[in-house]
Amino acid sequence: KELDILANPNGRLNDGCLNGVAHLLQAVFSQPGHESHYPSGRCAIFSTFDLHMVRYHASDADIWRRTRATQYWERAVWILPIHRRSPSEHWVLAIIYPEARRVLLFDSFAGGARLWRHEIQNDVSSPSDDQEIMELVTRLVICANRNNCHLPVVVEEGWVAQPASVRPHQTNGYDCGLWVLAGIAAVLRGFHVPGLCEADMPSFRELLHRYILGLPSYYSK
Amino acid sequence: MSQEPEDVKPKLNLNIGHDGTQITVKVKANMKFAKIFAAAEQRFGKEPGTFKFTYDGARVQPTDTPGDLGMEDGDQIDAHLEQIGGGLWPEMES
Repeated sequence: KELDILANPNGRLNDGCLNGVAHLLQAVFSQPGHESHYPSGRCAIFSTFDLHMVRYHASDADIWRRTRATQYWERAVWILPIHRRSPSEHWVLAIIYPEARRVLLFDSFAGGARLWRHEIQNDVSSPSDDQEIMELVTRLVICANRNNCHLPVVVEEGWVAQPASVRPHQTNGYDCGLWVLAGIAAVLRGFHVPGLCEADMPSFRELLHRYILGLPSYYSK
Repeated sequence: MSQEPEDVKPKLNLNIGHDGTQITVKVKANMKFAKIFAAAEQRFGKEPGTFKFTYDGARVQPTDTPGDLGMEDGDQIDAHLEQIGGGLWPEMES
């Protein structure tokens, strides 16, 4: 299914495409001798399902169980792809620098702060929705330290959220997932934003599709 | 005095969670997850094929078995609704 989506020039990417390709990119860039080996190795990539855990108040044990494989407490950059269901289904990206207490927000439409209100703003009228990213960061820091993985990050104050780009990259209604993957690739290579333009996206999509087709097949027993 | 026949296929209790709701299914280690997924979706009142399942963050395939993945009694599986997105039109930003 994911291959069909990538093969379709107008295919809207799903969680399988986002999570699978993000880890593929990190595996490629982290290979010894690759020019992006160092920046890629500094990143932890979270799943598109991880932010959702704070929305239903998952336990610390569940958060730790589902995120510890990333070894995020040893990584300087946390990559968090985010799925929004409203006002329409849309992929965006948060790039978290825990030591610098900084969050870069990448939205291919360069939507303003109003569109990030659920993820970053402290709205006392809607306490269950506010500050989702910071709540996840806080829970991750707590979980790591409780499990003897030292992570000396201050979460109570001093954090800043900024747009990664104020220039819209996307004008169509189907490429936001691809733009998030381009953003992830840029961060893995040590940059903040992709250097691609919208005219490059069909080629980027085709490149990813071909790369996946070239992978060895996985067979269950 | 005869011995009790040994159960050569012991069953595992797997916990399957979705958005904070938990069910437990009793499965054999060599049972394909396709069957386990169907049972879980039925218990959650969802159509077949609704969920995607992960084990410690990694996707579980219908052709896998609990034994293939080294699962033990009491292990946790997470069920997720599919996420898909293409973008929003600028006029929808209000």
